[in-house]
Amino acid sequence: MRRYLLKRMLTGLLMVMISVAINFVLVRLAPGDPMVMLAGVDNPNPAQIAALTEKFGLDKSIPEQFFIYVGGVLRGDFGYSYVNERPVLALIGERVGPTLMVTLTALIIAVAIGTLLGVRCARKSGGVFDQIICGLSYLFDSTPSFWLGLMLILLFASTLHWLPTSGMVNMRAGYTGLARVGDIAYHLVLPVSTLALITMPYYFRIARSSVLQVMSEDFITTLRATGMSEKRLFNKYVLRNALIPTVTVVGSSLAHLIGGAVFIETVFSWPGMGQLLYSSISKRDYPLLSGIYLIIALSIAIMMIVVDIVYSLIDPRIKYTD
Amino acid sequence: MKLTKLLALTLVLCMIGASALAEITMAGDGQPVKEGAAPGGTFVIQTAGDPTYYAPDYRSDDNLWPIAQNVFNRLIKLAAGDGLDYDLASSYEFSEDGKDLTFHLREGVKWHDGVPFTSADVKWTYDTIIEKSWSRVSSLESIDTIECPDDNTVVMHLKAADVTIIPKLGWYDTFILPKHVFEGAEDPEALFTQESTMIGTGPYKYDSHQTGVSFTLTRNEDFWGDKPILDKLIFVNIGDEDTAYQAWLNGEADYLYSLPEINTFDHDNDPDYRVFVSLYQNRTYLTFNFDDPDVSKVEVRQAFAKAIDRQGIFDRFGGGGALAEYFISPLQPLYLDKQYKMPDRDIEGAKKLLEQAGYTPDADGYYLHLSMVGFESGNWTEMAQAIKQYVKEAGIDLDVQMIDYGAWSDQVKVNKNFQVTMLAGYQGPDVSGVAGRVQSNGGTNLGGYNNPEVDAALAASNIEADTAKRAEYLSIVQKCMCEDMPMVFLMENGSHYPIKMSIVGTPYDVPEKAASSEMTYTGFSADHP
Repeated sequence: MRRYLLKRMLTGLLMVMISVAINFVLVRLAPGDPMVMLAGVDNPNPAQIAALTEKFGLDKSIPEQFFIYVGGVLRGDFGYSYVNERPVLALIGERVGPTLMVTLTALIIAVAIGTLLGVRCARKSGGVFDQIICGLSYLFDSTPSFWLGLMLILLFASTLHWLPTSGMVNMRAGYTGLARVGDIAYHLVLPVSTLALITMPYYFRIARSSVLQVMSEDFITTLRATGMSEKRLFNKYVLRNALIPTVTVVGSSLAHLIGGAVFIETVFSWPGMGQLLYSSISKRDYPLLSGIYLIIALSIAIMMIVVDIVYSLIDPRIKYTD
Repeated sequence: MKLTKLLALTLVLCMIGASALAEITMAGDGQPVKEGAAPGGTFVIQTAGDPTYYAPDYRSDDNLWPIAQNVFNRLIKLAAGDGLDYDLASSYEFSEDGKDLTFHLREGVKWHDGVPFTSADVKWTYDTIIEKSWSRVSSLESIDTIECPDDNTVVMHLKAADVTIIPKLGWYDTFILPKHVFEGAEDPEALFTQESTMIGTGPYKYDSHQTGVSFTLTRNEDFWGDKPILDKLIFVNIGDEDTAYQAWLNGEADYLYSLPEINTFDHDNDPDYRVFVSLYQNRTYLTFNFDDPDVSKVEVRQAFAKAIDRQGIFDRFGGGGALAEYFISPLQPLYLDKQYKMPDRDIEGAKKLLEQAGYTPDADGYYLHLSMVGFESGNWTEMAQAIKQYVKEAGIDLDVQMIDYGAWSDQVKVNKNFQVTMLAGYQGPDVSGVAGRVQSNGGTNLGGYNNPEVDAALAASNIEADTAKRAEYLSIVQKCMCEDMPMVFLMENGSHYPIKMSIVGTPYDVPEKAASSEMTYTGFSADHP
């Protein structure tokens, strides 16, 4: 197991390096000179564009820029944002917390409710409840997140006045301490609900189809023939086997959490990574983009290893050898 | 009349005239707000994002602009509606030959950290903008040297007489910075991202910044001018304009950055709001690449002008703006020559022009196939599609590509790889603002239009103090633009902006006193708690 994990870590590291190299080159090949954009569309100043290009090292070749960047990363320096003129790590650090607040909370809710509903519907497949939930899952799965977010704002903020429209805190009140925590939780309700409703169908369908598939396996029929109670059969044999696909996609989703949810964060003005990523793409902020992609790649590599470990815990038949 | 007097007259006309012609009017049945604001309160203003810097002038930073308008001051300020007013200067005069400009500064002004403001701050700011080529170095290009005879006097020695310099000093990125904060730093530009540099002389001072969330200012109790009313200004980040609109309706924000187009006229007859209709010296237009064999032909450009239904464009996309009819902004009536007008829509006339240029219709009825590239912004994609349909009627097959700003910037601004493009922009504060788009070396002359007659007329108008004579030079510019059609104007831009009756003293209410986004006079009405 130890050797296997070491191997997986080395593979993950290689994957991160390749990903960083591809992203580094691709963003620089995309049309759009960040220094021209920094200078603005009205009355651009060529002298300033030239000075900025030199200052940020964009007058060097892409391979030169890449080796300078990698050297910096190895020293713990992820670069300096052109647009924000601040260290990339500091910018990312400020956004990770708010992003995880929304994405992690929504993921936990979506996985828990989606899986429970999936299992319930699979056990009573074809029933009224199953048909209603399946219908709803198709509805939410096909709804754009930004549209659903706006509809929820119109309903719960503008019409019922139950919840705030956007943002993370009440600006006028300026709460501190526990009141601030409560205020943030209050502001979390709409973005988390939107994201959970959009992602829940995914976990619902995986759980439902996995349970249905396992329940139709021969060994389940055999166990049933031995007279094992349905409850024991389901909890001990069906559920464990059916959860493995859910663990896989949850692991993958966890890895992507750090990248944020661009549309949700934009609609609800939530100060997370999604907004940072979107703004760095539109402004061609190369160091910030490279930094965000690097963090996402690292996160994916780590989560894939964690998923492998969780597999073996859920299903003892899975053994990792050389 | 001596040059000094002529210059003074021009500037007075500019200051008074521009204020009078601010074109801020009220729409619908909005009741005039009652005078008087209750002191204090926290005012929440929506912004589209975080500012990059804590001090202005270094680089253009649109998100800093409304904040800087409340923290920093200039010598002269551009008030809402493009009028001019004194700011840190209490008066100024030109020398006999127009080459020396003396500013007399207000006395007793202090920076937010308590250090006295002096002429040395003015000299350091302008010298540094010029030396370091900061954002608006072009506004100061006529300055040769600056002297400070005493703490309250600044003398600018100009390379040549320049009647445009006063409005330019009142415009973007010419705020006076605190010399004592920046001077001596190894890299002064690195300081712009530090909170400690947000020290101004303005009505509000820096309190805190929560990245991605808000930017807070508090009242400057020692402000040298009229005392600000509010306790706090909070600039809150709401990037999506539909969400911002809902937050504003729900009372979570008091002042919007912009209104969704679909909601533009929603409050015209609502007694809880008053609506201000403003016109800006900002115009949306098409421009052409003069290196292209097709659109470099004047007949093709003229055909575009005749084919496009400008009234249709305005009706569909105009909002608070106006129909584009002339070659300079209608907000410059002293210089507007109305004999040079954009042509009326004439499809047959457009076709004749294309035939004159040697084009014949192909099997599909098209005289020529062209491409137009623009960047995605607001309703521009829909407007580009409307233009495609208009010119199609005249036999021009226009392939429209709307791309993101970065890609457009690369393709059009850097590589000049385009035939037709669409953009908009400010053409003020002085009438010479049009030069950036039509002068051969103009920064936004993207198509490379080059007419020596235009260059000469613009150069002459910049040093001509007599309004009538200046108008003659600018008439030549308009005549050339009408004949050469380097730009096909689509629309005069403006806004249709509702203010809640519970709020008083916004820049729209007091355009003669407040700069755009300056909240010195803003407060909550005592009558509308």
